[in-house]
Amino acid sequence: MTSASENGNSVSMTRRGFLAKSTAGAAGVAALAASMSPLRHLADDDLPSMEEFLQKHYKEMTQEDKSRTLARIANEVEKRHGVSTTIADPAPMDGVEFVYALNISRCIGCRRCVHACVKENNQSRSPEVQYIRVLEMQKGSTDVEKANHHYNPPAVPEHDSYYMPVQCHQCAKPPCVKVCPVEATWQEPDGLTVIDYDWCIGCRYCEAACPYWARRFNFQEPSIDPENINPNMAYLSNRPRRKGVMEKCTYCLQRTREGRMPACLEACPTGSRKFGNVLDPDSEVAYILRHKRIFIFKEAVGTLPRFFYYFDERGSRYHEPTAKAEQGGEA
Amino acid sequence: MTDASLSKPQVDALSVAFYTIGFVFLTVGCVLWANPLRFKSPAKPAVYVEAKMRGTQPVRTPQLAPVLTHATFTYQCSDCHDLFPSSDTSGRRLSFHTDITLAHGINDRCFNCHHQTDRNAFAGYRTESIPFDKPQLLCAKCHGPVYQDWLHGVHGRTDGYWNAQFGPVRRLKCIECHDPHTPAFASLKPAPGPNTLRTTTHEHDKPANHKPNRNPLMIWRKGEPQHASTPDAERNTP
Ligand code: SF4
Repeated sequence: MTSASENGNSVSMTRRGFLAKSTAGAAGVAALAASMSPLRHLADDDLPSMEEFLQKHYKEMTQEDKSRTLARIANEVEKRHGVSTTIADPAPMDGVEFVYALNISRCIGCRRCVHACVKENNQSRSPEVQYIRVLEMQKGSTDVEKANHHYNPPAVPEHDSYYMPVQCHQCAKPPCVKVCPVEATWQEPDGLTVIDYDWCIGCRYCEAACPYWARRFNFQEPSIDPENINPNMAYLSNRPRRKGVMEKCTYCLQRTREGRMPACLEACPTGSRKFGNVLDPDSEVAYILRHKRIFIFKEAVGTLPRFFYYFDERGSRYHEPTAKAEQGGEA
Repeated sequence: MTDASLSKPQVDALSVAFYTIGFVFLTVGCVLWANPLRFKSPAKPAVYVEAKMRGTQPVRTPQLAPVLTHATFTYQCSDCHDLFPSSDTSGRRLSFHTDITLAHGINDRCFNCHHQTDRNAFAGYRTESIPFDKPQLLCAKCHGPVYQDWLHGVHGRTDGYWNAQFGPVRRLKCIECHDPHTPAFASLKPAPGPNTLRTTTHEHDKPANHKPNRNPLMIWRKGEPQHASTPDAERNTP
C-alpha cells in the first residue's frame, strides 16, 4: 500500500510540482534580472580597474607604485573631465608646521574665500560642496547656535553682525583621524590632516567626530565644468573626488607645500587671513600668536587646532556703532 | 487509491508555497522593473558665481605716483599747483578735484596730508616730504598701532609666498584697500551663500527679511518661532 500510494503521489506531485517549481523559478530569474537592472546604469569606469582595486595604502606605496598610481589617476581625470593634468604629490617640508590665523574683527563676510576655495580645490558644483562656512554672528554673542549661514543683504558687513569663517582647523589631536576604521585619513608631519580618497570607504565617522563640521561627504557623483577644473592637482588634496568619499580643507596643500599662499587668503579683500610656518619665529603667524589676542574656537574640546582667530584691540569692526554709522570713522 | 487522488486533487503545502513564492517574486520583479519610485536627487543645479567673486585683485589700484590723468592728458600735481599756489584756509569750496569727498576723521584740509609746498609729495612730521609711493609712512603719523601691525603682516593682506625663500612677498599698501579720503573699508556685495545638501535654504520657511534664521542646521521645533533669539542668560536658566 505504501509503495503504491507513494508511487501515485509522486507521479501527480511531479507534474504539479514541476509547474509550480518552474513558475517560481522563472519568476525568480526575472526578479533577479530586474533587481540587477540598476547595473545597466553603471558607466564603464564605475567599477574599479584591477590596478585600482589592488592599489596599496598611500603610506605603503613605494616610489614606483606612487608614480604608477599618479599616472593612472591623471589618465582617469582626462577621461572623465576632459582635462589633461599631471597629479603631483608634494612632500611635507622639514621644520614646517602650518598655522592659520584669521582676524575676526576685520572679516566682512563677503564669502570671496569660499568661492576661491571651491575653484582651487575642484569641489563639486552640483551638489554643492564648500569647505569654508562663513557664519554671521550677532555682535556681543559667540553663540554659534544662533549664527546664520544664509545671510544675503545687498552689501556686507552689516552693523549689528560680525562674521566668523569656519573651515578645517587641522587639529594636533584630530578626532576624525582617531575614528577612521581604515586609516584613510591621517596627520602629516607639517600638521595637515589629509585623506586618501582611494582608501576611504565613506562611513562618515569622521564627519560625525569633527567638532567644527569641517568634513564633507560626496553623496552624489561630483560635477564640475571642464573649464572650471583647476589642473594643478595633488594626490592628497584637490584631485577630483568620486561619489562616496569624504573630503575637506587641506590648507591648499598643492600650493602651500610649494611656498604659495592658500587660495582663500589670496582672495580675501580685507586681508583678514594669515598663513605661515609657526616654527619660523619671523613668520606673520608666529608674530600674531605672540602679540595679538587669540580666540580658539571650541577650545574646550581639546583638539588643539592649528587655526586661530585673533582680533584688534582698537579700530576694529567690532567697535563700530551697531546703528548705521556715517562714513569715515577712526580706523 | 489513484482514482481517489484524481477526483479530489491534493493541495499539498509544498506546491502552494512554490506558487506563492513565484507570485511574490514576479510581483517584486515587475515593480523593480517598472521602477515607480525613481531616485530624485535633492541636489540643486550649480549656482553661477561671477569670476570677480573669487578674484585676487586688491579692492583698489591706486597709482602711487603724483599724477592726474584728465581728458587724456597726464599731469604731475606740481604742473598746476606751482602756478596756482593754494591758500591754507580750511573749508573752501573746491573748484577742482570736486570728485573727492573728504570723510577722514577730523581732517578738514588738504594739507593735513598733502605737502603744502612740495605738491608731488605728502606731508611729513614737519617740513619733510613723504613720497607718493610710500603712503604707509603718512598713515603711520596718526595710525601708529595699525602701522606696527601692518609692518609685521598682521594688518592687511600679504600676497605671494608665505616665506620669501620661495618667491616674492608683497604686502598690500594702505591705499590699496582704503580710499585715503574716505578710509572706511567699502562694503561689498556678498558672494552667493551655501546651497549645499546639508545647508539648503528652506524656501517655504523663509520669512520676508534676509535673515531667515540663525540656526546653522536649520533645525527648529514645530511652533517655535524661527527667530528664537532668547538671550543667553535666559537659555541657561532651567
Ligand atoms: S574673503 Fe575675507 S572678508 Fe570675505 S568672508 Fe572670507 S575671510 Fe571674511
